[in-house]
Amino acid sequence: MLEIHHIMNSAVEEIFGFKTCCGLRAFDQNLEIHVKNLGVHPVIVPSHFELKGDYGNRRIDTLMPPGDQRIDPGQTVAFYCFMDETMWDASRHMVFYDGEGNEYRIPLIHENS
Amino acid sequence: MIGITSYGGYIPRLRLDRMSIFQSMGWFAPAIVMVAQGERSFCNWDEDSLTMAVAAARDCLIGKDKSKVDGVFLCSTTLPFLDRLNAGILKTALNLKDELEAADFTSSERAGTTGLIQALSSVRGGDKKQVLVTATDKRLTKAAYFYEMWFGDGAASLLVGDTDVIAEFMGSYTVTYDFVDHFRGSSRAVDYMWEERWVRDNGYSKIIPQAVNGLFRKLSISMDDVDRFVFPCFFKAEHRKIASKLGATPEKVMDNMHEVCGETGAAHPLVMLVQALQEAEPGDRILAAGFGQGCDVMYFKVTDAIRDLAQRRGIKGALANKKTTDNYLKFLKFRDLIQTEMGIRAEAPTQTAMTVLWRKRDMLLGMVGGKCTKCGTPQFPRSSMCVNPECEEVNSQEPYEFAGIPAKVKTFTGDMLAVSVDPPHIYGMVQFEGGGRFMADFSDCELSEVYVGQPVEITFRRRYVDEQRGFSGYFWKAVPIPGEKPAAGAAEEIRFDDQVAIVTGAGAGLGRAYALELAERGVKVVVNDLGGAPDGTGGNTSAADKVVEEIKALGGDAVANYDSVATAEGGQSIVDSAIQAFGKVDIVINNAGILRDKTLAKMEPENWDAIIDVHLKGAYNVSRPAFIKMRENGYGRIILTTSAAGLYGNFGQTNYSAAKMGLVGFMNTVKLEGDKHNIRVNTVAPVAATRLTEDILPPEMLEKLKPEFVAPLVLYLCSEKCQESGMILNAGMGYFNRAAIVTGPGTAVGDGSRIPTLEEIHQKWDAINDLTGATEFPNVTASMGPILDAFSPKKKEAPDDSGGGLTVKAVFEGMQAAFRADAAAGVDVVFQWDISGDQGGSWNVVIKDGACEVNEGSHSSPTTTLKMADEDFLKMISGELNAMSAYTGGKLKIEGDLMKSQLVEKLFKL
Amino acid sequence: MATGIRDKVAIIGMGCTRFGERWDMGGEELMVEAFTECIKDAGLEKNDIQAAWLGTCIDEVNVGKAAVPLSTSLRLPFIPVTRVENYCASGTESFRGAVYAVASGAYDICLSMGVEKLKDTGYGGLPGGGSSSGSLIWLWWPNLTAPGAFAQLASAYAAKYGIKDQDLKRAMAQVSVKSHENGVLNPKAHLRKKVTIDQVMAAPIIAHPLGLFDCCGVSDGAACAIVTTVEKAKDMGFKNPVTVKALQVALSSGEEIAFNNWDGDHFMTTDKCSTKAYEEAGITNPREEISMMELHDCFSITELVTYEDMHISERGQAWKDSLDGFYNMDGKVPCQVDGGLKCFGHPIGASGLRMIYEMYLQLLGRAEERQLENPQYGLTHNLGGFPAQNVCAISILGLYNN
Repeated sequence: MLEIHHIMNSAVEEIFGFKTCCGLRAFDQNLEIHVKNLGVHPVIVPSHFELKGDYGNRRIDTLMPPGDQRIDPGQTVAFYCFMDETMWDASRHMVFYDGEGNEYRIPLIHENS
Repeated sequence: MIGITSYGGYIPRLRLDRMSIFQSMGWFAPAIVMVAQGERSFCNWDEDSLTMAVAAARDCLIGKDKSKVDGVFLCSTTLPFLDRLNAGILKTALNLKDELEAADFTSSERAGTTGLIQALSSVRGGDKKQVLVTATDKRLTKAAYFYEMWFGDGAASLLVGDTDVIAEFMGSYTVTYDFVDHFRGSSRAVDYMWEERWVRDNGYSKIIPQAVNGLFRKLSISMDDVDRFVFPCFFKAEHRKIASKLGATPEKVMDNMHEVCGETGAAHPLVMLVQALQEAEPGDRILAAGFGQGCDVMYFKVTDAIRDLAQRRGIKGALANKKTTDNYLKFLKFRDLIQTEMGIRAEAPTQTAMTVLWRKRDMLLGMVGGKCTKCGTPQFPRSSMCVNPECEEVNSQEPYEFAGIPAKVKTFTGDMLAVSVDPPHIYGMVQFEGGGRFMADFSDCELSEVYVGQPVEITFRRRYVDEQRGFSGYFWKAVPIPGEKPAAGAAEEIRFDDQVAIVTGAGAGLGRAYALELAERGVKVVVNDLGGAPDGTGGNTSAADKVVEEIKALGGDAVANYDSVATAEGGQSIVDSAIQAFGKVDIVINNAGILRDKTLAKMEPENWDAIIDVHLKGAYNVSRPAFIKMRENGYGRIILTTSAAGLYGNFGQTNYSAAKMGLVGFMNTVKLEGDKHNIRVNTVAPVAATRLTEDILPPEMLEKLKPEFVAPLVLYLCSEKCQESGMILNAGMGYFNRAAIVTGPGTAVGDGSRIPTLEEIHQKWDAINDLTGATEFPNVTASMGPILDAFSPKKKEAPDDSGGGLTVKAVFEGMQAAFRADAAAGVDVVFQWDISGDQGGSWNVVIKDGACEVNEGSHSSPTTTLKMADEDFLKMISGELNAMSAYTGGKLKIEGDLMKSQLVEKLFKL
Repeated sequence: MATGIRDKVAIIGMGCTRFGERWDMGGEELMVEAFTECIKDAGLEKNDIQAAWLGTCIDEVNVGKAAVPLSTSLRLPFIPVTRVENYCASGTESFRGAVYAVASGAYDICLSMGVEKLKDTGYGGLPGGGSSSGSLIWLWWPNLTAPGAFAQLASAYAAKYGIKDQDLKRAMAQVSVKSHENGVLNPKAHLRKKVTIDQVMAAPIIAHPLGLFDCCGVSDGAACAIVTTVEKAKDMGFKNPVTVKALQVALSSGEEIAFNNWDGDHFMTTDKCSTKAYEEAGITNPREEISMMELHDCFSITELVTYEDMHISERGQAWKDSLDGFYNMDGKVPCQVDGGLKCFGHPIGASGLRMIYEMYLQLLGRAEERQLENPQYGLTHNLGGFPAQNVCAISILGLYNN
């Protein structure tokens, strides 16, 4: 059971770009997605999601951190990626998956629409 | 007699699954699949021939007096320095004396056996007493060819001398030919191979037999005089053929170890020899050969002394400590065969000051620190001024070897930022047994397996390579020893040091088990036992005395007592003996018991009385005087032994059942009386094989029902940690559950003013009997609740606006009205309120899009769950109790998103 | 008989550059930017300065060795100029030189400058390491980084006080969140956006358990101060100047890393240094008396345990105080009022003076949107090195007429 929350043009983008001294090379990561495990068992979340809009479907694989992420009960993991604003505005839903194949569809509410 | 006096081995932990090479490069070189069986060993990024040699040599020196070593031979074709005595670095790492001979033997795959023969010669000649011969190789190969598959990395070490010889050296024979099966020029990194068929036919298959036969002639022996034939040849078929040609039956031939590590170059003959020694029996005769531009052959006889050799890892142990990987690119990266971008950060300067290396050679290469002769503090590094803040001594430290001292992880981290070819880089503080610590790089471990308190082995590793100047630098690292991480929150041992316990009926069975376990945890025990038969007749002192002896043998303290619990005087005397012997009593375990089973009709009064006297009255007789003493000290733990018979009933045991259930009643009130004195009382219903159950339970069951399975529960209930009181616990065979007296909600029949009829009672029978929602009542007063409530006016009314009559329900009913929509912009939360108590219930408050919805019941995914007792909740709402105080004081429990709970105050006008 | 520094020295002018990625300036230009503000603030002329101190740490990049970079950038006319270095406490060390110089009576007006230009390295991070750390040190110290060394402080602290990992993580997150909130109000800070606790807790791990937001960044900047004796300040017309109430430094003896007692969970230096500082300033109840603090928040865990080493939070309670908002801008003892190292980054030589700059502005009522109400004592804490071996420098400032 996951709770998913997205922040487009997040404040984190600037901080990532600045703090390369921490060893992370993370440029232009303007989309931040929080995935929280509301259940009582750890959940594995693969690092990809799908965007759905009138244009069809688009799978986004280029998330950081890459690979399957284990989220313990009550914890939140953040994913970051570069997201083209035009594509984002044209998208209606974002779909995440967990390790058991469950889908989590989140409506995207854009300020302009 | 001269010969081998000790052995040691080292194979790196990392093993590459050979199939992974084929999987990556099979498109290019399909033929390599033919030799892709098993796995090959490979050095970690911080290992090389020298570090492996140090590991093998340290293993070899276990149990040996290294101060007597007067020769060090290091044999390898891949030493880090062409000119700087590598054996000198080895000798410094081992912290051997300075007056010794050292030499590097190199340039041939038989450098190891050559070194061994030379060592044996010099001992035989009387020139040296103990020579350490270590052979090692880490050979580089080009990708995707047979040699990458065939080769492995490894090292072996043998000590040679004339005392405590484990394998007597009988003789050797050598032929030397400039047979160039392969070569490596002095400026090259990789071997150049000639045609394998020729190497096999003209090399191995001709030269090895020639040398072996030469030795046979020299010593007038034959293959019949050989039990184990050790020689390297990575051509499997050829290996078999040579052996067969020489008349060695398959079971005499030591496996060439292709599947488990691969061929380790100059080390291999000695690696195989060590393997053979680890399997050998006294009397075994071993023929060992090394091949490379000729052939060395040696003959040994294993002696009885091999049985006395101290335990070491050897090759067997090293092979078992493995981590297999199929990451071929990691293998290539660790050998620096692929270039990766390491970043500007990795451009740090790396020049080594030789003057510093010289002054600090024992510290850097030998892990030698200091021990202050004044205050005895071991410290690393050794320094002019003692590190102990209480000690003012200058130049007072003597050298102190840290490498072999047991050590543990004190703190550690996995650092993603540090420059590393194997991120994350793991390092931390290591604490040595006896004192001393240092910050160490860790190696050979995964972050998820390291834990605080984990034992580590301090290991010699290559710290850096100065590429610009061609220099390798070494130091020591901590290698965590793999093992079970203790469970999160694993408790320290629960101790009872200096506590005093009385155990009645402790001469056998359960009582004895309790007494012994308590004594092992530091308790002084009064072992009481009448020494009678299971039916209570007779009596003697030996039962109690024996257990007291057993306790003393454990190193514990105990006294015997022979009084009967069945009389008040007896009980008083038992408690007095505890006071006299040990000054107080902290724990009483009422365990003494007898059986007099008869059906009710046949149960004569004396049998009824006897059971009541021992079990029920006995507990009163002992517990009363004990309680008085415990009350004085403000501490006590009392255990009563009840039984499933009492709780549930058992045919033929009306007396026993009554007594055992009576103890439950006794406990219910002692619990109340003892509460404010920190005296806790609990009952245990044990299922165990003791004298009392011998005749009742089938033998197979008795086997499994050891009293020791019950003891841990009883001891836990006796501990300071346990604050429970008034519990009934069943225990047997390691299975535990709690029994309890519960009361259902019941129902009123009629309106309380007229007497209900039998018929009405019959009609409401189901409701009267219903245990749904049954609860435990802590005392009589609480139990009156339902009756008193049944007919009193309902409390749940409309809230009194003057504020005095606020109810929980009213609060939630009024919550929507108190919601502040303006403060809720962007807020998306679900609060789950679980209120306990008479007015209790569950409500969830959903706030989203500036709106608030209050529902009864539990929400499936609340953001924050708040739990409080009804009274506290109302006090908090009315402002009498501050929310933060409620939280820190434990009256308000919050689960889930703690920070969001702070929104409550902002979102509602309370 | 020594009598301490309390109320002997006044700060009569300060300057501070905008911190951050100053691609536009080298260390030489940054010093001039800070000095220009400072000399104007003091109402003096450059030639009034009689001696100067320069605090810089890194030699591999930056302005170079000796104090020559300061004397030549500012064209100081053949006066005594001294370079000092004490790891990340170099800023306070520079201040200390100038303060003791005027207190000794040897000079009337002294300048203290701190500067670091770290963005010429070609990557994000501190240069050096390898054999430049010291001929012997680099042959045996582990391959550590600052995040990794300080991360161990976090696990040791949690283990000692039985704090659940998530609780500590949340407390550390609150430390960063409040600093970022404060930074929004500071035009000289580099990072000026708010972040939420959730964002902080979910961020990638750098060295377990420290995440991205638990670490400060590397940046460029300069700050400076002009000091004189209280008597001279009064003569110059400063009726109620900011004075130095305490100035203490404590260095590790080597005990933490080689003896057996230190548990890895706090700073032995800060613990002792703060006690001496309070004594020197005449402060007996720091939790009540300290109005505001600038702590060395290179890592949020550093700030958290420093709350305890400052004797303001009880041992084992700092995490609760943090979560309670005790150190927030509107809390009892506001901490990192200017945004701290978290928002400014850490140009090593400058940080200590930047902290003093904020306390100076607050005491004089010039902190604009960040102004606290009537602050009495401001404390700065400047730490260099690692938990296992470090330099701690503390200053306490206040107005002369308290």
